[in-house]
Amino acid sequence: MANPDTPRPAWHSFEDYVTARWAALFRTAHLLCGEAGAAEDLLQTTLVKVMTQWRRVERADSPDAYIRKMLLNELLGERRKGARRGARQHLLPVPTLTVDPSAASADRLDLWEQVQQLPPRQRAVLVLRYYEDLSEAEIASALGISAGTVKSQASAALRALRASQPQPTEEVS
Amino acid sequence: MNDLERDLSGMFADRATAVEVPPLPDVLRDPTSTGRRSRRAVVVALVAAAVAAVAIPLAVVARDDEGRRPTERPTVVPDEDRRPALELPYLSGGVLHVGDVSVPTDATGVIAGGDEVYVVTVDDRGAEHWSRLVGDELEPVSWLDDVLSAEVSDDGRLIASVTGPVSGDTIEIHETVTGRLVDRFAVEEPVWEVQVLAGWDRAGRLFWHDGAAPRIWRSDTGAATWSTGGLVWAGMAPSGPILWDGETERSTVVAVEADGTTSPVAQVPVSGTAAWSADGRIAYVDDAASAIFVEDLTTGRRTRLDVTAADQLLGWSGPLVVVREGHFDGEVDQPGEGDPIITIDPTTGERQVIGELGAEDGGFPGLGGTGTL
Repeated sequence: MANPDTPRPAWHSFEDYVTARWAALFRTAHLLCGEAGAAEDLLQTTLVKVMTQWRRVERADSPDAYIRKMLLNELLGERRKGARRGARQHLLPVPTLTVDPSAASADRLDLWEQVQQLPPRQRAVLVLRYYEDLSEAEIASALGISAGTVKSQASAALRALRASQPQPTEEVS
Repeated sequence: MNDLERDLSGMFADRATAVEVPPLPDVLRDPTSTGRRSRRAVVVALVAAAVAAVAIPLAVVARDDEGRRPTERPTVVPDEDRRPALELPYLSGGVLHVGDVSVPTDATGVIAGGDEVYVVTVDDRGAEHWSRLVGDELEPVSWLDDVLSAEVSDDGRLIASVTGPVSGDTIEIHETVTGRLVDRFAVEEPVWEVQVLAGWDRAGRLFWHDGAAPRIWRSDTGAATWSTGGLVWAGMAPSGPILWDGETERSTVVAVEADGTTSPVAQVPVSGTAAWSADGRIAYVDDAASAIFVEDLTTGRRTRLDVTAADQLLGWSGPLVVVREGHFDGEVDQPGEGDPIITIDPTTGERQVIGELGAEDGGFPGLGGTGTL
């Protein structure tokens, strides 16, 4: 997504916007969901909502940030009654990351798979931080949480990932 | 940035680059496109419309002759100042309409139960603010700030609210009139991301799904788990949850017993959009036929309403079915300013215009279905 500091393009219409931003939005959605089909569902669902609210969205200081927030809301929350579970498989709970300290490193999941096993909010914090390159304050705004919670979520996520990473073998000379 | 953080940055960049980006769906490139949509796009549009039913939803319509409006319709069009009031609350043109009461508001959503009506606005930060209709004024309800989803009980006495995953993961039940907190309970991890308030039954019991299991709250025993018996929880009827086997054309309204088991109460047609009348009838959209039917669950009598596939079921106003008359623009029916809101008497077929939609923001209380929750 665009850096908020970059000059803001003038979108003539929703169609202009979505045509220009579809690929970038999809990549972000893919990282958030971990799976292309779920990402497509998530993004289409979000953009249909954006379409119905386009006049409001285009007036926002940053349509990208506004839509990013809608995307995250769609991913992490249910907005109201009527959420269709069948179309929201990407929202089903993921198993808690469990680490067997005795497991051989070869058996451990690679980093992408480990990230997919994090709780979605922690995963979202990592994507916003290390892919979107957002600041803690921007992440807090996007997720509607405090900067402190961003830190704690990021810390918990990194801690879980480190715990499941292969440990370097000490060489004894 | 340490090694792990560098690995994450690199991994995310690699994954983002490697993923094959699907083509932009037609429905997003050109909402008035006459081209065929993918099944996914249609489903997503319908789902999004249902989820965002606080705004005026999209309706996907058939392209064949079935969609043509009859050349002559016995629709009564009263003078504007003689139009009957609609019992169903709705937002249109920056005004909340409830019976004879009209209140200016910038709300984008409305919910109701009994005589209680609440509206929600979303500020520039994306935070929700709710107001309750008291007389002919909207009074802010500060304890509902940031609440994403709320349901008013059938008798209007209680309101259940769920805070979002980013602000609490908690369900609260308040008295509507006094605001008194009746019960409050946390939703267990990691269910915060799928918690769904399904609604209340007429006995004043709240149903929701927290991602792990179906739940029920009773005023005397509090929150508990119940079992769908392996069926799909497909909706809510006034008398209880609706379960579906996922294959047949009828789903089953069940009563939830004290031990969490269920017993069948009635059979209803499977539909993505349905509304229940106070006298035991169900109005529903037959998605296959692109038509609206009314079924009396007591007698089994089924009546097809004289509507086109572009028309949208909105609910009941007493014994009358409320419908938005849509219009055609290629394959997609775009709700628009000036679309008539009509009532149809399913017994006589009499139709009457009661108003028109205003600007793009607004809408009616969202409707559930009987086939998917």
